[in-house]
Amino acid sequence: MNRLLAVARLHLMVPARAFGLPWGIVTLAWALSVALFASFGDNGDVVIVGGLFSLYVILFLSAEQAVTRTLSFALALGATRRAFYLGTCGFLAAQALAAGAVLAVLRAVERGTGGWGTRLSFFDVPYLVGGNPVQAAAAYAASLALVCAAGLAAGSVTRRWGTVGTSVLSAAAIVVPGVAVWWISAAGGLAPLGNWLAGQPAFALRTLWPLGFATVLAAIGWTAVRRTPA
Amino acid sequence: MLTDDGRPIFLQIAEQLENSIIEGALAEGDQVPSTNELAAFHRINPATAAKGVNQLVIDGILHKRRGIGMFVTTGARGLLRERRRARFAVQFVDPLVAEARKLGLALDDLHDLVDRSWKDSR
Amino acid sequence: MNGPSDPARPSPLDVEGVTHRFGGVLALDGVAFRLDEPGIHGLLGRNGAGKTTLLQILAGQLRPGAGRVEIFGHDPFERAGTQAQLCLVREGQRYPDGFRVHHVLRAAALFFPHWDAGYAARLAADFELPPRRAVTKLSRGMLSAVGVVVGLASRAPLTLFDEPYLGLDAVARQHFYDQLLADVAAHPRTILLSTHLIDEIADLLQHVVVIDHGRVILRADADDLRREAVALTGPADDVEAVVGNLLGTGPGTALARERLGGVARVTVRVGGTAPVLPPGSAVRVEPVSLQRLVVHLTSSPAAPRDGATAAGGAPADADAGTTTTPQGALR
Repeated sequence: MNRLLAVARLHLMVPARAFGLPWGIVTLAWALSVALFASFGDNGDVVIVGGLFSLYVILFLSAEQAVTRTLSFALALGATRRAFYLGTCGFLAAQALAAGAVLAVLRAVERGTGGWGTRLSFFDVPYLVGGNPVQAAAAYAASLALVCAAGLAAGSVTRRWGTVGTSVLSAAAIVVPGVAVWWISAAGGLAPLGNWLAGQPAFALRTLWPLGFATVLAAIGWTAVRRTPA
Repeated sequence: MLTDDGRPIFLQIAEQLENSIIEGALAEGDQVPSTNELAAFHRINPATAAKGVNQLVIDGILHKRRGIGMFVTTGARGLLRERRRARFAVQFVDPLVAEARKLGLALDDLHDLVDRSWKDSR
Repeated sequence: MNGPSDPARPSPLDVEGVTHRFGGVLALDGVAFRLDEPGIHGLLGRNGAGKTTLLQILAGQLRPGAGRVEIFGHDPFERAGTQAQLCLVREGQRYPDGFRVHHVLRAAALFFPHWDAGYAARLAADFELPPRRAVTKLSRGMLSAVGVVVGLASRAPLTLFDEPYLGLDAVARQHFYDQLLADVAAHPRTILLSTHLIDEIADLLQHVVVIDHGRVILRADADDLRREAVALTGPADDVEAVVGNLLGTGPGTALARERLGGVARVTVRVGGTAPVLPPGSAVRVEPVSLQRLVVHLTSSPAAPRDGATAAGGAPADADAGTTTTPQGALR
């Protein structure tokens, strides 16, 4: 447990990078959006801005860097790959949970203030989140976890198999679903699949599925990391 | 100081301590520097310094007082001088004679040189 | 050095048959040696001899293709308990984004159980490392100094330094050696230092392992190696006569022959036995330093695997001035 905590503390060593960067950028994007919307005056419509996307991008990148840069330093300090990966997953999960809670609060404030008084929907992204704040927090956390897991997988694959590996993984990420869709539609299963998906409770779609994919991606990352050279 | 003459360092350490004892810088009953002090001073490995000190313990020049350190044994000075005297002929006189012969000096010349050197060294 | 090891007190380092390939290249070939005592020991050899690969394997950061590696009795690869007893300092270490010098030291404190923060701070000050300077902005010398500080302050029971002084100037190097001596004396542990700057640290080393083309060619106490070879200088015929005697009667091998006019200098490996010269001989016997010994032993191309010694180079031409003919000297 101590070893895993040490890894987590390693990731938190430079707070400006761990917190400052992601939240700083989100704050900036939000402030710009609010200013922009305030200058438009009354729209009559509530328009959604994809500003929260920046948070997801940054967390993806830091998860990737955790493997491409921090791993080699941790190994030099004597951490095992196992401890590093587990500790990093734990850290990213905790980070996703905490961020999810913060975002849920901000979303509640946004809804309560009528979009920050400008009818801006920055945090309240409809398909991503919904329901009460607890459900929203879970959905945020799940999607953030998915993005972090993708970063871990990308970083691990790059570290182990270089750009060739990453290209293969990216190609697979496009080809595999594409083939699956083609195969399902050829079997005439697209419509039933669509109906089944539409019938899934929102909670499953927003929270459980992303978590499922996140776990798969994290596992892919581990297979790459466990034999990676220092 | 340590020389680069290929002789093992531990022997050089032992010899330097012997010289200190013979010259009187280290008196009988005095404590000798610790191996760590010797190692730091000469910039050598402490194990090598320890080997040199142990050589003197084996030779009966130093003895260990547990918990305190290494001390010069009583009678060490006399012992060392005796040993050095026994080696004196081979170590110094033979080479002197060989070199003198090489240069073509006569025995009398050699005597004169030794006399002069003896007087000058007072 | 090669007695049976006591399972109750395992050796800090015990390897056998370590072989490793990178692609088609054989980097290490059957490396075997043991370090039993704490102290400062040396891993010597030319660039590309395999020192870095070996140290990475010893530190458990690389899994060898074959062989047994035991650090304090266990295989270090991915073993947390053993990793905690180890520290490998190498050049070219990459640090996480945004790290400053003080972050590196605080990170080290998280992972090394024996870390001494006060000592680390004093060392950093001695090497003039600005704590708030970003690691990416450090000069080459300062980067080496960071590695040295981490290696020393880790107080790891087995500390491995891979040519830690690259980038350090002579003053900083001397400072490193002095600190190393003092701290190992105060906190005994096992240090293995790889280097090709042998003269500077020869006196500090206790045990020495020389590696050439991936193989161990020599394992001995550094102090004993001072008498391992001698250089015989004098009139060419007299020198050859002495050399002939030595090679004929003992296990000696000639490592190098040099000629200038009528004077010859032959370096002979005598294994600690001082050559006996006829009285009044004009031949002088000079010691051969550890560095020169290692240079002589490692300057030939790799010997064929069946153990035959490599052939020498061009024969000496007495009229052409100095010619050096290194001859294979693998025992």
